[in-house]
Amino acid sequence: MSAGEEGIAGKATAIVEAQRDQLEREYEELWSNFGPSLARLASSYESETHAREDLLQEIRLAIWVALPRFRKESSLRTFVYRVAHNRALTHVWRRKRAGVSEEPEEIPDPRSSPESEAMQRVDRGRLMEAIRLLPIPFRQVLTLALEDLPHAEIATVLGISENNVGVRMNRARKLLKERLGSRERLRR
Amino acid sequence: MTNLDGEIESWRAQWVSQAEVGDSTPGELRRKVVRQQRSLRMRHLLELGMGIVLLVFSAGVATRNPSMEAYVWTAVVWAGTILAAAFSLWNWRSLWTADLKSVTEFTEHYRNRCLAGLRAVRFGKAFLAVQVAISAPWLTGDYLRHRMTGTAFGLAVMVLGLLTVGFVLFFTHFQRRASLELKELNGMDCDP
Repeated sequence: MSAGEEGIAGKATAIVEAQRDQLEREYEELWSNFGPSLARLASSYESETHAREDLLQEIRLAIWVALPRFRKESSLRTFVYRVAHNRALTHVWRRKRAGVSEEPEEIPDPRSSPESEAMQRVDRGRLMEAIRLLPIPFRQVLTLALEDLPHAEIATVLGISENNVGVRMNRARKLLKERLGSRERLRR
Repeated sequence: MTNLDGEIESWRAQWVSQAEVGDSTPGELRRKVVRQQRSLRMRHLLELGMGIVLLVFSAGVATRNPSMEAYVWTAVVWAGTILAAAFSLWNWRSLWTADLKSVTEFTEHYRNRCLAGLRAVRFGKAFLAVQVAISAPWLTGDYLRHRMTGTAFGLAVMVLGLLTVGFVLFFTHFQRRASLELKELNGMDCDP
C-alpha cells in the first residue's frame, strides 16, 4: 500500500470511528432521557419480570439499530415511541404465537413494608394490571397520554387522526375506570 | 382542573412513579447486532448454497449422461429453481424497503408480511406437488426400464418421501404461525 493510500485508509477509519462515537453519545443521551418511560412502556405490555426485561432489551436493540436512520423528520420522542411500540407489538405477537400465556403480576402485600409506601405500591400494581388488560390500541393511546404526549403527537406516533386519538382515549379511560372499580369492589 | 383532568393526573402520578431501568452499553448492543447480522448472512448463504448445489448437480448429471431425457430433467430442475428464486424475490420485494413509520403502518407492514408468508406457503405446496408429480413417475419409469436397481429405486423413493413429508410439515407449521399472527393483527382493529 502506498503512502497516499495509507493516508486515505487512515482518514476513512477516523471518520468511521468519529461516527461511531457520535452514535454512542446520541444513544446514551437518548437512553438517559427516555429509559424510564420505555421501561414503563415495556411493563404495560409484559407483567412477568423476565419477559419485561427481554422486551426492554429488544427495544434498546431496535432503537440502537434504527438510530442511524433517524432523519429528524419527526421529533426524537416520536421516533423513540414508534420504534418501541412496534418492537413491543412484535414481541407480544411472537409470544402469543408460541403459546406463552401471560401470568398476572403479583400485587404486593401491604403488610410487608411501611404503610404509605406499601399502599402506593398496591395502587400502582393495580393500575398497571388494569392497563395491561386494555385492548392494545386503547392501551397505546392511554400510556402515551400518561407520558404527557399531546394528542397531536400520539396521532403521529400511532399513525391515526387526532380525532381518533380522542375517541380511543375516551374509551380507554372508561374501560380503565370500570376495571379499577370492579377490582376495588372485589377487594371489599 | 376538570374531574377528567384530575383523574388522568392521579393515574399519571402513579404511572411515572415506577421505573426500573436496566442498562446495556453501546458495546453490548453493537456485539448483539453483529451476531444477528452474522446469523442472517449464514441463513442467506445456506439458501444460496442449496440452490447452487442443485443447479451444479443437475448440470453434472446431464454432462455425464448426455441424452435427451437427462437434458429435459436438468432443464426442469433449473426452471424450477429459478422460478422458486424469482417468486421469493417478488414475494418479499416490498418488505425489504418498508420503512417503519408509525404503529398503524407497521401493523400493515406486518400484515403484508404474514400474507406474503401464506402466499409463499401456497406456492411451495403447489411447487412440491409438481416436483413429486414429475419425480415419482420418472423414477418408476427408470426402474421399470431396468435403468435402476431395486435398492437404488427404494432409496430414491424413500428420500423423495422423506423430503415430501419434511416440506409438508414445514409448510403446515409456517401456515399455522402466519395464521395465528394474522388473527392477532385483526384483533388490533377496534376503531369505531
